[in-house]
Amino acid sequence: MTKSFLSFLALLAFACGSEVKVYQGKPPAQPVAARSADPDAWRAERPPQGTSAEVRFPKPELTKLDNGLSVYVVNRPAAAATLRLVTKSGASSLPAGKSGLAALTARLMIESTKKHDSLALAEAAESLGSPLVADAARDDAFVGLSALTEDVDRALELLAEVATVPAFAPKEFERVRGEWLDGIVSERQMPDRLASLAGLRVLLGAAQGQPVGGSVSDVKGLTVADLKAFHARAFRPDNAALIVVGDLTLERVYTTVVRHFGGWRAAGRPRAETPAAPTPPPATGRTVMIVDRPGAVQTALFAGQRFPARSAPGFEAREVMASIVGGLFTSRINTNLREKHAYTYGAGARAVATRGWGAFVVSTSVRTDVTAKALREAVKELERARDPALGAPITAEETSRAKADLLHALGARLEHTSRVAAAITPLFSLDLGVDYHTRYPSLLDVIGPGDVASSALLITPDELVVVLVGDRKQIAPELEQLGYTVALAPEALTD
Amino acid sequence: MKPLEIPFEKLTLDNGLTVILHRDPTLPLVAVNLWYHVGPANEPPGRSGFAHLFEHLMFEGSRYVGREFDKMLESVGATNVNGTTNWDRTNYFETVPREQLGLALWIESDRMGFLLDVVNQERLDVQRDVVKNERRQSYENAPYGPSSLALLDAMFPAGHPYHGAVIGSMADLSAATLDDVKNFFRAYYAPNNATLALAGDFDPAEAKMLVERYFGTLGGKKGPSAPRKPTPPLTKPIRLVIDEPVELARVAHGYIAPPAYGADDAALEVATAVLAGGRATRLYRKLVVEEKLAADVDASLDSNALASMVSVDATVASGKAIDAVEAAVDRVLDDLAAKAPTAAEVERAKRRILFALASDIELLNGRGGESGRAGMLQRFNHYLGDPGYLPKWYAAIAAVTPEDVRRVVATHLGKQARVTVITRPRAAQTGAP
Repeated sequence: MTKSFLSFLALLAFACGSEVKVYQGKPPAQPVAARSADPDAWRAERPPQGTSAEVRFPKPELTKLDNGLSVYVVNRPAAAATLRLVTKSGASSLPAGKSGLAALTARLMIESTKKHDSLALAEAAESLGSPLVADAARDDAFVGLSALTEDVDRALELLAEVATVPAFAPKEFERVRGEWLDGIVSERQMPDRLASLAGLRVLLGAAQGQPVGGSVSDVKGLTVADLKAFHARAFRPDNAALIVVGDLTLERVYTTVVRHFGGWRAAGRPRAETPAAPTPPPATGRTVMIVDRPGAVQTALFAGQRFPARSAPGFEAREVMASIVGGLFTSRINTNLREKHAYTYGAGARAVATRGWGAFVVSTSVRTDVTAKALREAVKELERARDPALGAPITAEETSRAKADLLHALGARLEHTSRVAAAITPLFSLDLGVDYHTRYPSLLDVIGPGDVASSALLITPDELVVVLVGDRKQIAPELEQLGYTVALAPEALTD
Repeated sequence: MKPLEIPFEKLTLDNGLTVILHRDPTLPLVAVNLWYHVGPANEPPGRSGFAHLFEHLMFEGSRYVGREFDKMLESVGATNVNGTTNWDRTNYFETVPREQLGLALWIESDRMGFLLDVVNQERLDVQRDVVKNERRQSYENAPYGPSSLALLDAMFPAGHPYHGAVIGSMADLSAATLDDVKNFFRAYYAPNNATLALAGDFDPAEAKMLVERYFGTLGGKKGPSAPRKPTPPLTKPIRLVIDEPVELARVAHGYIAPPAYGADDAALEVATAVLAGGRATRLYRKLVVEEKLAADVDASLDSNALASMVSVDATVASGKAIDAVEAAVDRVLDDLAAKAPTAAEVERAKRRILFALASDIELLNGRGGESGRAGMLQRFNHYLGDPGYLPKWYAAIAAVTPEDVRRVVATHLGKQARVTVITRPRAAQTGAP
């Protein structure tokens, strides 16, 4: 369509808002006699949708080696494969005083092995294309790497070496722990991260609430013996899974996997874990803890409460509820705090669910002078989600929107092997079952606004733990006017 | 490694819109990625940050679609929905289930043609405040954010299209008016200043029909002129010290390098990968492992139309002296400028870059709309007019020699012409840096 033709239409000004039911390359020809002010009125019609095909997350191939190692394989047409060796023992399995141990152990495993020193190991992985990676979460820890399909045998050999014969050399331990401690300090420099980790400490207690990366004082106390013991307890074949995602099948990799992982033997029986004991939820009574940052132009806000653990029935309905309240871009909290009041660049809420505990957390960063107002508006949205009498009951439209978003977010993970590997991890670590993702659409399908409203009843705005990182002098008075008791956060919260 | 390629078809509509189609039916999804060839480099004087503020307004809705298009996209399961602004371009993108291609094109064409009907003073004021919050969150209240702003202010002189940060200054954001919005839209938001890329599962004939229907019916505009200011070289070292409420000090160097895809671009990409990005790299081995002076190191190349920027950073480890880290960084750079790296080092660096490309093109579209398949086609098209440049870029990386690495480090990363920003922890500012 040319510009001049459009001008022609505009000059005559006789197009009508016609019905457009089929796709066509040009707007429908308009009858000359029809009169309408707008030649573009046909644009108001939303296009019909084409032929749909659901994105189906495939069920992984799963087998177990004689030594107990679970092997998951997902076939994806990609040049590069993602490999992960996952243990079911994550940060939540650690005893009090040992925070950071799962994550630091995984990090040391990729530093050097009994066959390759630090430099040689880094060179070996990076010659294949990407550095070895290690990470931990509440319910898992992993080591892994990516490699081209044709290099997968070599990559599996390297991964087996990292998993089974890490060196834990004392000299390297000292250095990497130093880096790790500086990493903790770096993270504490970020106001939103600091608010979140201080908030979880208040909410879950000093032991369970420790960050996955550890506290400064705990990490300083860790020893090589601690790492070796954690490795022996967590990274054993009967407590671990190998996840392979790429242009591969179980048949193709099986022999290689057996060659490199088949001889892996765990010492003794699996040892019972003695995780940090849960503490009763704090009685906050509208207390706000402030980590003082004089002069800060923004306040980082954490407002959280305990919530059901991952295994409690209704997880998916709670997910949908959290999406509506704070997960979507158009969520209630973001719409209020960002689009209506412009207090923030973004605000959200999420339902965190681990094997041992759950939490519902609102987080945002807001302009210093509107801190109290922003907290009030966020709480107001929680109350409105909970109580339909306040005029904003959970609607069918919201429910359907949130479900579509969750379903397709899972589907979009299929775009990349690393995202697929991350999606497979909880199937193993949380015992969700190998077909969880294939069942997911039907689990979402049955959720209606009533189920979401029931989940919203779990929100208890009066029991929120609120932690703010900001300029106390500027933000405290208005918070007190709102009826909050303001306390300075004790130093242990930022350790 | 096998060379990489993204098959595509490129066409131009009568109104000047460029269209790039890449079909891959592996997943029933289509990435829609629309680039406007306008960025902060086109901002009028006194309006820094305007291109990005305008990007926010593009999410306010448009005449025929209305204000609810974010909800529409969420309701059909769109993923990776966003817009981004960089020096030379602004982009808008979403990945939709294949049956919703029409919806995405309807929405994108409506805001290309009919944005101004819904933007008013109230929405401008809200988004201006949202952007100011973004500036606070990303820079003013973020560790090393004020230092980044200082570095960007010093790299290019006032008046240069790349002076300052993309997000702009608070004063300029405050000064933006509704007339600025209208003028910017009329000058730059038009089919003949935009490129649409589709990547994924679609029927090419049907997709072309849809594109013609929704975009072909929009009028073109007077051809906007691209800014082509010569970039003055840095002629002397500039050194700034910024005090911040952080515990760990940082040393950051910025260098000006030739424009994107110029003669030395591939060699600089390899040079930064020899320096950092893995655990078997020069800066990491020297500063973090051997001398234990740094907690973290980084080196990266940001290629743009008028000039590229190389940054080399080191976060000072607890208890170590800033000047010891500065000296150590310089020793590594001096060594590399004097003596070519080993063949093995260069091979590893190249392998990492090529592997990252292979891994990246698994995605239909990347997070910033500048990587993944749709993003990469757009990027190559924007800078070179050739969406199919990937195999050539691959070959350019593969051809880099150790001597090339030495030469570009010696030529572009010299002490005599760079901006250095030292971030000094506020609590420890008594000692001289």
